[in-house]
Amino acid sequence: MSAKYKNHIAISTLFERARTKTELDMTSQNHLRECEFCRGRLSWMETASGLGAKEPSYEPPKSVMDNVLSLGRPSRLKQLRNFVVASLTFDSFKDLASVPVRTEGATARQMTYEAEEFEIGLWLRWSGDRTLTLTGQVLSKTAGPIKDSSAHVDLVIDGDHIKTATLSPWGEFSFPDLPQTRFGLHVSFLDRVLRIPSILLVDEEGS
Amino acid sequence: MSAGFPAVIDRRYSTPLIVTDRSDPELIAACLDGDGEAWEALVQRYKRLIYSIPFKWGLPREDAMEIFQAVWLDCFRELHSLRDVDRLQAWLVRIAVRKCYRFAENRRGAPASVELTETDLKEDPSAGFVQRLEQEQVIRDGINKLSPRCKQVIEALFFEEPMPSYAALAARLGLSANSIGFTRDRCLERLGTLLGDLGYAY
Repeated sequence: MSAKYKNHIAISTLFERARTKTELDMTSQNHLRECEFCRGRLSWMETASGLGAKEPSYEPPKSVMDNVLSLGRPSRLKQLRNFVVASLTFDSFKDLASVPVRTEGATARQMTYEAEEFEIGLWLRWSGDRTLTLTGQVLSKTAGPIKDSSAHVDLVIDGDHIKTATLSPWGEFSFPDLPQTRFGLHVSFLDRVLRIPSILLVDEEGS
Repeated sequence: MSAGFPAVIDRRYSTPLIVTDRSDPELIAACLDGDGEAWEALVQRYKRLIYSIPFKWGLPREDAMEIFQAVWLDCFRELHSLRDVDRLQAWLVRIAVRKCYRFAENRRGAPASVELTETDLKEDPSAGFVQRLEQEQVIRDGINKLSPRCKQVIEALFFEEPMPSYAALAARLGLSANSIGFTRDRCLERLGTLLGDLGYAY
């Protein structure tokens, strides 16, 4: 409590001011101008009053809460535990490609990421309007395409999951019309999540 | 039942709450260890904060429900990277605000923007909006740390419209009309102290 003032404004007075907009008397107004302690009290009471009658309505509906809480099922948490960051092992913009991946009029980039026994191939193609299409394929090096009907890929920009694509029976996925920005991918299947942390989606030749 | 405690507690504003003093990083670590209760504690802690944002953005209830679920899905999927995040609350707000921005744009028929950056949000004239959200969450956290009786008093004083008369509140609490003023002041003082401890900034 500030030592400058012997007598602060009574908390009940500040409450009435915040809650019912009761005018403070002149002495209290002068005190408030100079007393940070009382201004702090008034501030939180005004914020609490602003929450007001709407606050109970900010309780999410039960069905919505149930959906969110169901994310915490042991099976899903187990999938989170098996969270593996994939490593870039090939980039056609940096390594020599075995096949031509750059064509006249449009730029394409091919990348390969690997984690454990899995491989993720990515193809980026820019279109004339400067958007791009990202296609990919997830394969087990030993068993081929992933056999999981709920397998999916999330496109993540700065923590925000922008889009989700399911994996085809051949492990393929596609994200069309993407802006040029930095993004990550989360590939969820079976009991694990493979993560490609950050890829910069810019046309490095054309930009 | 302790002496003086009301026989009937008004639970209109009391929500099921997993009371925990564990910090956000501790809860995230517990989630990653497979602790479903830790996940529930995180959701309970921030549910009103997140669910309130779309309404304050002027979006309808169906959007609020969708955004709420999408934010928590993002949070769940990002738990590994959030382990090292000091302020989960700020991260949740940022993601929710960005989704509101996108939903609002879609409702206006404009193309969705997925390029809104943190810098954009900081430069947004509604930066005060985010500060206000953070202040409100500190108040929720403070109220949740109060004793049941003080919680009931504070919720009645601030959240009921119209505010109940002191006589009605005293009757509800099983107190004499003479002592309600003392109880009110004590609860306000207690909450103010808790908010200071929680870092309420204005």
